[in-house]
Amino acid sequence: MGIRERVASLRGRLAKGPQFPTQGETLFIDLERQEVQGGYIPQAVIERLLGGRGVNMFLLYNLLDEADDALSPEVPLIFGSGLLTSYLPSAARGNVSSRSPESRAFMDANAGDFFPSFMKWNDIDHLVLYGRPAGLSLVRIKDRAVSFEDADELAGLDNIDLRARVSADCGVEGGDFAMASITMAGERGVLTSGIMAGPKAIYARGGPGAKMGSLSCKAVIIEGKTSERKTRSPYKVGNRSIAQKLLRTSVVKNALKTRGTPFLYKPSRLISAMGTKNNTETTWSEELDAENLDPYRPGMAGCMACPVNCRPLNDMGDPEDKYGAGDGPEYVTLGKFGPNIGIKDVRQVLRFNNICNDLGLDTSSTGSAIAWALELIEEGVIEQPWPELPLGWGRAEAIEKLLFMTARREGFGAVIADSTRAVERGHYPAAALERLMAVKGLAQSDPHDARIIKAFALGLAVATRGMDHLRNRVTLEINARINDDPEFKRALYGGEVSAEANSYVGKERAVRRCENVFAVGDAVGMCRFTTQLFNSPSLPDLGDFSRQIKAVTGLELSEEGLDRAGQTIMGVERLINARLGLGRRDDTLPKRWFDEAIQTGPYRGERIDRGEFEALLSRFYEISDLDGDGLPKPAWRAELESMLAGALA
Amino acid sequence: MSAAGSSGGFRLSVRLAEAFRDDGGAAVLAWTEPVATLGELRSLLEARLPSLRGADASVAWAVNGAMVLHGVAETPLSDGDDVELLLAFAGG
Repeated sequence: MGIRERVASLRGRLAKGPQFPTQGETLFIDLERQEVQGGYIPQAVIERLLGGRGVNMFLLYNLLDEADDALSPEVPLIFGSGLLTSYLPSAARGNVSSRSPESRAFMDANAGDFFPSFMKWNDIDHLVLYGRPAGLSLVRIKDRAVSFEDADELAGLDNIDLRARVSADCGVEGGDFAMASITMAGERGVLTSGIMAGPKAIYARGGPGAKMGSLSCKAVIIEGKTSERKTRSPYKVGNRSIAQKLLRTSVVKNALKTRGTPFLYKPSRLISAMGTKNNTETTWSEELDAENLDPYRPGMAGCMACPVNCRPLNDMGDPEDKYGAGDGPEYVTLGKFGPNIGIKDVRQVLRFNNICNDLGLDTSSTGSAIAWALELIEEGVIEQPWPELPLGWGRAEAIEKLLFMTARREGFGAVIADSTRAVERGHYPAAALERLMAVKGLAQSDPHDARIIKAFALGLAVATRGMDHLRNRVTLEINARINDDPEFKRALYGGEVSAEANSYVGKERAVRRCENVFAVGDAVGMCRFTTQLFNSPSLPDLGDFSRQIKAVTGLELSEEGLDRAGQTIMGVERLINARLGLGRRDDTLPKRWFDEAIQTGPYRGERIDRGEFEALLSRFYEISDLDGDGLPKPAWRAELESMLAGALA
Repeated sequence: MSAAGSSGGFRLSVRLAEAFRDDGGAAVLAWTEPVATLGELRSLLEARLPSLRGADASVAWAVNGAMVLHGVAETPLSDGDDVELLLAFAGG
């Protein structure tokens, strides 16, 4: 059965019209045949998976044939907006999902800015793209009509130039239109490329750029806002309460709104848990502490209608330099293009940030791939590819050249472009895998070395899309006030979790709780930075989401029901990963973290004990209703498969 | 600013994140009132800094460049120590 037959079969199970006032349509867009079909996700699925990431997984489960390569046009690319995207303050997020061309798992990436909101503003909940046209194409959605255009004249354009070209035609991005697009890197199948949703916003992880490029789709443009915005009942009072809640939280008020996530760099440094030089070291310079970016920050920006505005802009004062100003960096970029590759100069990090934004490169995967290469060169595992301009730690000029070559898949850049698949594709010897900082084939998202904080380590191991902190990071493990209040901590996580960050005791409960809450956040479209448990226990929580879901949609989903939905999303993701061949052996950590100890700081000697880790993993599986191989246990699995197959009312 | 009730021979350097510099106060306090633990210092600082007193849970402490992840009350302090008060922020 090919993709078209699977789409037809699935559409037969979808509702013909919206089942609640704010439900948008799911559009199935055949890029090759230039055909569009629609349907509405059944309410029974919405109640269990909510929307956004959750329903993307429902669609992917039903439309994926695991025999197909990720880059086959038979494998769909699915955009999804959250159940409450564009309705709540800070709910400007959406996901894009598919099979990952980069990792061995499914692909699921989240972004904000404007595109998810414009989907919702046009009564679209999901876009399912498949098929490959003869030439590079563009999809335009205007006045609820979908049209297909030749995009050859946009071929090769990177983010800055593409957005300028489209803005000249369509108006102001975020006001008149929104766009999800790829750069040359995506067109050329660079596995570390993303789908850009703004000057900086990127659907980053797992190779979305390469996937969209495999469909010969340069961009999806949505023009105007046509939704009548009829909610089930008034909801703005609830929104005011949510906005007040998040704006009075100190991490929002004093960190995110003022400097953004670069704030994170210093705590990691002070814990001696910095991922430095491919995690061969764990400390780095004060020069990259957030306040050192102050001279280069003209202001803050944010996603659509978000009151936080957590994105630092940057400007180094040279208007002639294409990369002298831009949007960002986030902490991930600061870490991956700072200590991870041996760079101390804050201006150089800003420049790398601006280059990656233009080239459409995921800074997590690209920075990780470069750091991997630099260690391999240093250790003599691979030869220096450029004797005339040697690549090495801190060698900014060479690394900058490498970024452009990566985007073009030229020379050694083609090796970086193959990311964690470099051994598989014959670029590196098998011994290189011992130094790869990845899980399930996805390089670590963030620059925190998790040998110390065991809850962080477990999270990275079990995260369903690969080694990524955003799925379940127990950020409050660094909060001494919470750690020193066992009753509060017990109530927060539903059971005992050791106060000691480097203990394994109880950490499974904390990761389970975070994984559920964050999955719900994704599925309703809420930003992770303003969701409870991510940096604060005081941010909007499942209770807030429950009240606003009822007000906006009329659906009555309790806090317990939402928590269960978060776990259901995880369960579906594990079923998909199992079809891709993943199991318990893939819920693991880089070899370095088991075999090598932290060398400095108060946690000198700390590493991950294999026996303790396996026991922790088993406990995590047990409380997650997973069997010994990390799959939903039989009764739960049967329930999930029934729901996915449309057998539940 | 020195703490009231100071006696000779004891001095801590207490660095404050911007969020805790009330009324545009100093980024670094020279603390001269003897305290044996970080818990004692915290209590005295809370009495003097409204921003710390009213802070939600997102407060973090570092002593001599190392973050204290638990056991704040018992963490020992000695003359000459460098203490830093910052926001607990681990996700982004």
